[in-house]
Amino acid sequence: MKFMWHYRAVLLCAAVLLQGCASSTPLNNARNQFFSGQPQAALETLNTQSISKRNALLALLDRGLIAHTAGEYQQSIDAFKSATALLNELDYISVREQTTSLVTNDWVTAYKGEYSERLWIHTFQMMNFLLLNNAEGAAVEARQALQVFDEHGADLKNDWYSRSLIAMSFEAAGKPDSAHIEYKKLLDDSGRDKGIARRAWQNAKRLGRAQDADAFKQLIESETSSGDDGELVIFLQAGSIPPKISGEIYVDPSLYASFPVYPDISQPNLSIAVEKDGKNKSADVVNVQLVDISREALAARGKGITTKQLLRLAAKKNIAQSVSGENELLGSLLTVAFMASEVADTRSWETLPAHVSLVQIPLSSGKHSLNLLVSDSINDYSISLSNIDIAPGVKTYRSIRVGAGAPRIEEPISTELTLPTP
Amino acid sequence: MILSSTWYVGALRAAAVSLVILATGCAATTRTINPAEDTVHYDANYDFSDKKEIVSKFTDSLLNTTALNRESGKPIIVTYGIANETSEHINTGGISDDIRLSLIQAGEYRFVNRAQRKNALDEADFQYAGFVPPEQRIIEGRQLGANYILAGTLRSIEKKQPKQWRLNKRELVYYSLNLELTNIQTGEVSWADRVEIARESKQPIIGW
Repeated sequence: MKFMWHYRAVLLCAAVLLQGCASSTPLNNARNQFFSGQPQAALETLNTQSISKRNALLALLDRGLIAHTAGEYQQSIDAFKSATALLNELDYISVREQTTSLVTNDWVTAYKGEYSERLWIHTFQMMNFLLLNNAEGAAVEARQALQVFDEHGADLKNDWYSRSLIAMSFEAAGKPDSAHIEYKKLLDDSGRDKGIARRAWQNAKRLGRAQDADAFKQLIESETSSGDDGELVIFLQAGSIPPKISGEIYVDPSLYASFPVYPDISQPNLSIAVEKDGKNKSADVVNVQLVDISREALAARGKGITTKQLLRLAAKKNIAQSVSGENELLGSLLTVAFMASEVADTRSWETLPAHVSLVQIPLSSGKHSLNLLVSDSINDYSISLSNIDIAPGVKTYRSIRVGAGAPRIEEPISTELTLPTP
Repeated sequence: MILSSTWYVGALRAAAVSLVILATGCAATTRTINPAEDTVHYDANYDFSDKKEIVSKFTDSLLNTTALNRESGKPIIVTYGIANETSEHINTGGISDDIRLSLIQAGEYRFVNRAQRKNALDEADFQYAGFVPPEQRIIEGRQLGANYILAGTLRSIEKKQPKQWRLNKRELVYYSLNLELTNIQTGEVSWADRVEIARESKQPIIGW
């Protein structure tokens, strides 16, 4: 009788363990389609196929990003709004999930996103709203991004891209005073970046803060040509963020804990140049490698992850020892099953780019054609921007992705790309 | 044996009753809410009950004000919208539309429709392009000139309980909507009022 009970227990554990390690096929299919340059097919997969509740957030994050890349900005906004609502719903500790994960792994829990990923929902939303000329919507997202910084600012402060976008969104919404505060904080933290200084100087002039404007002006190498009364802003994304990998710590040869880590691969920053009529055109560029921010955000959760791993190890060892006392064979089987289930939860928002760059090009009003030359040390890209309409005193926005995840062009000409129509 | 059978029947009945209760508890329900009378808040965030309260307070304030010049008839207003300075995507156009609707229905104010201005011009152009008989054309130069601009700002302050050992998380949200009427001729702010809403919500941190 006792043997039957243990036998059933092992079968039940095996079933739970197998479920815990199951990955989401529709999600993987959508990601493969996206990385092979078919964003519309990827969206179709995400919109039509059923995805488990525990991966629902990842599906929404991917949907939002893929729609953005495809130029479907309203669809992207809707997906990211749903992701934000889901995050609020998931903001509690599920006793059922935590108990199950104690004898299996964290794959059985609903994915709640890293702090950095929560921030980037608002980063992409700011871009979406600016691309749709909805400055008020961008400013709402900027305030939500600031709430994430309030809670996790120490781990995210090096995300100059998101922080610059926050200031830019406030400027666009006619809130130069809010933008001024963000620019000042940015300049203090970034070591006085020249590109940011130019933005801060222009905003301070508009606000009538003469003293601050003079201080910012001293950081700028060259002033913008007086004829450049408009501006082209490019949200550039390149490559794909490296996925999390599994790290292991061995307590003894038969006992180890797995935990998620980001690979420690150092990549050079993007090199970006702008050409107009065959000549170099000055531009302010803010570059960020997203994996650097993700790594810091994940490390900030390290204490919590370690505590849970220790609890899991203790729970698994105690259960296996208890069963071994009754039946050695079953105890050994259970130990093997527990070891096999010790898999790090490496889920992450994998469709994110490796690099994000904010390229601001001052231009005179009228129609312009430019070339954007991008190098990520492995590939060189030449992006042709034709007939961009620049209005006086107005920022014109474009979003481009190059490398992995870039929409495939039907008739490729070397590595030349053209922009998707917004 | 008889005792065992009675126990078995009793257990079966208890199980049946439990099943009925469980089934009732799991049934999906739909309730109709009357937005004019019911006040419903699921969390601390802005909702239709807040909109109803805001519209009602501003309408009352505007209907009872003596600060506006009514010598030349009912004041004519043009709405320039309410700026959303909160961290929520709130359609503030709904607030200004409802205030306008209430004031028009009360009959104390007249409004010019700024949103339809371009359409009205297009329609006038169409009528004068030769498609409409002269006697049916509108007479140009008869549009109303507004006396006042109605505009405002919605702001919010949110505070979350700091991280600590607790079973519930509390969130406090404060909304403030300022609305003002600006005299177009003089630039004077002729009327201004404010509605404030503060609400605290509590959600459990641990769930099933």
